[in-house]
Amino acid sequence: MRSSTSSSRAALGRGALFLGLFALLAILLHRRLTAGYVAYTHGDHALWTRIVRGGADAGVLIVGSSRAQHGFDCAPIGAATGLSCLNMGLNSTNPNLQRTPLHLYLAHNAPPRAIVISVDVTSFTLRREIPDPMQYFPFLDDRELHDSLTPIDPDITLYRWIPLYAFAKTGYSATNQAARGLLGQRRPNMRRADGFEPNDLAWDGLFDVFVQKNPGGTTAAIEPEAVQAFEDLVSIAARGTARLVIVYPPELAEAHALFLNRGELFQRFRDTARAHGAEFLDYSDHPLTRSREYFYNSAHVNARGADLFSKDFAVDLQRLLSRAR
Amino acid sequence: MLFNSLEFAVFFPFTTALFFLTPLAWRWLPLLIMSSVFYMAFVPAYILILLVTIVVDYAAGLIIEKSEGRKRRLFLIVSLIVNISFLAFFKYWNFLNENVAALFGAAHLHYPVPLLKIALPIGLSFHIFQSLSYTIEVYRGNHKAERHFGVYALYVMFYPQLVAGPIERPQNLLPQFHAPRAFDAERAALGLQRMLWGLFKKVVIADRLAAMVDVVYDNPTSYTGAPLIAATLAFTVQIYCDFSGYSDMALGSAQVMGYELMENFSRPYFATSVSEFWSRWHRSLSTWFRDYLYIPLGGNRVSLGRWIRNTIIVFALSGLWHGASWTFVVWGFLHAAFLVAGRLKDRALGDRLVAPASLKWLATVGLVAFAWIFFRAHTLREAYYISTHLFSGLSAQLRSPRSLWVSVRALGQPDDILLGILFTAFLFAVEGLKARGPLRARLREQPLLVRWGLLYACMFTTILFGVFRHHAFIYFQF
Repeated sequence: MRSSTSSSRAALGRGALFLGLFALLAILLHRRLTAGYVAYTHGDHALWTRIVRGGADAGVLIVGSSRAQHGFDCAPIGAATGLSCLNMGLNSTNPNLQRTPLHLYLAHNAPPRAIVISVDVTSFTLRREIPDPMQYFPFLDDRELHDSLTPIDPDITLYRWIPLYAFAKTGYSATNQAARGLLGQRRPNMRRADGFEPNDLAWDGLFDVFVQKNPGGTTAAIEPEAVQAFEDLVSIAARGTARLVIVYPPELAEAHALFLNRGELFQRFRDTARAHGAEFLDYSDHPLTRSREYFYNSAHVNARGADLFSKDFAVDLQRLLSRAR
Repeated sequence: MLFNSLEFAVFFPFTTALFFLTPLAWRWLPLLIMSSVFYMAFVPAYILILLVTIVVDYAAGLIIEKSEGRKRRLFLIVSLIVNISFLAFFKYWNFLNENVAALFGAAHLHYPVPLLKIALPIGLSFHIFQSLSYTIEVYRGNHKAERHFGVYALYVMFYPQLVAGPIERPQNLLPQFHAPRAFDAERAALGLQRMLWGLFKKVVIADRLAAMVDVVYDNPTSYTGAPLIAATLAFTVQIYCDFSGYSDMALGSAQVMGYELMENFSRPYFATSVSEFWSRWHRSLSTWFRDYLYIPLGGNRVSLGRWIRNTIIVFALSGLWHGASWTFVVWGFLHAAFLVAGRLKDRALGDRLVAPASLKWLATVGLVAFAWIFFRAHTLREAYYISTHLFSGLSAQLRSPRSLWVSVRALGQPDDILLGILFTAFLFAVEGLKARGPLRARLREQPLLVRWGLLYACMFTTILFGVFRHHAFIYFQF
């Protein structure tokens, strides 16, 4: 009986040692792979590295969703204003997912001369899922970032605390990228160093499907929590810069009539801008909005559209900055 | 709750700890409660179906044992009717209805009976067959009726094999519930290793191949030749890794608690005839059909004509057991046809024509893989298209390695295809080594460093190369 008990204890001890060693190996592997993952890409993760670790110190900071990411070319903006420019547009985000990154940027970097907030018809709608959680995962040690994401997706906590969970969750692609990063490879064709990512795409037809589904138009949701998130975003920006500009970038003219409460949305943008001493620039009637050749869908300009729009916007921004001086 | 989910990673250690912390005589209780929790994680209300069958079969067992003659037979029939009614209603009603509606439509007659919009209770065919095996065995006098209602309920609901088998027999499982074993570290370690291997097969191989198979089988008419062959071979491996992976996890989790379940697979793709394949594939089902249908029909001790009839009946019903669709029926017929052809060949040629083992193996895998087309395709029309276009354009695709690669590349990302091939080769290497004796016993003889190194390698490979998008196990739908 005694020998059976002692052999059971020994077995349990061996089991505990096995699991302990496994946990240790998992933590070490996780760290190594995370380092490789961050090193591999020049895209979103490079942007996050600059946001969280500092050193970006842009003169002009662009904030917003994919419309910012693919629509605001930093090159002409930087050339016209004589300031460095960083496009911090985050794909598939709304203000409830944009305010924390902006706050983090301002906490870790020198204040920009100008902050440009790109808005759209979904600016008063909450984003209820986190697109591509892997873009955040190497930076989840930042408590503010972690705490802002977990209410939207509690799974984010597991990304932070369970070693290798993030790699398991993405089904090999993240491991592959991490291994490439550890081997010194870099991902091609990603965002430029200034954060702008031109999309050289043809018209994708999604707008036509949308029109078919909503022949009588639709109403963009205005949710109180999202209104508050937008208000927070603008407040954070206003505190962090001398010149805040809220921009409604070009949107295909055919889409204007589809949003029945468009007038209300624009009134809110104007009111918020006025309340915070910001400029509101509306490019929804910009000449390029009359032709599909500059868009790949109604809300997103393609590379050619981005080039034309950014040049015009750069001139307008320069004018605003000169006036401020 | 899926075995390859985070929920199960919490459920399993909790349930196992609860089980071992409970006094021996009461261990059935936490296991029954946790098995209910496990089942209710899918569709909670469907536990009522289990409850009804448990009550009916428990009572039927007791009455059958005490009765004789017609009354004994009557209660067996009651049990059969209740169980089969659930299957008929949930699984076959719409199938029957659609076919009758089609017949009425062909005769230009109005058919007013609507289709049912209900989800099939998960694993229904498995626990219904397990329940049936109980009343039939009691009726035959092979097993005494279970007196303990809780233990009988656990026989039906034991979570490791509740939703996808193995389909147990009362003679094997019920005595084990009455004699629970103390914790044994060695046995638990072996059980955990088996679970790990099952998880590896499921998430690293099956679910990786699933994505490639889906690309082709969800839109088969876009392909000819090599992609159709590659997807069919990928499905051949996928379904094995999916189902045997589940079985490994079921047997392993039961083994940790001291229970030995039936072995369901024995390297089926190493069979050199279709009849041998069926002695290695899903054995708990094939022996069920053998014991409760094939042998009562006369088995193989009958004339050739009756044997052919029996074989066709058994395999057609086996196909129908898998799913209420003509594709499954054809799959069953095909296997029956392969068996009949094999027997006719043996009768005609005897030992005069003995093919090399490698050729027999190739022919067996080819036939089994061909039949899987009907198992996997969404409709008979698509299955027909695939089976008649396997070689269309193949010669052009085989002209060079590059042209072959370009045609197969349609299945997915190059990395995924290469990993799929690599891990499949690894699986067959391991299965080949098993022929020389149980691998885990040989692993035990290795130094600690080697043993732990291999286990860590398997664990980290599973984590880093697994697909954790919680694909349900294919056999759950049956």
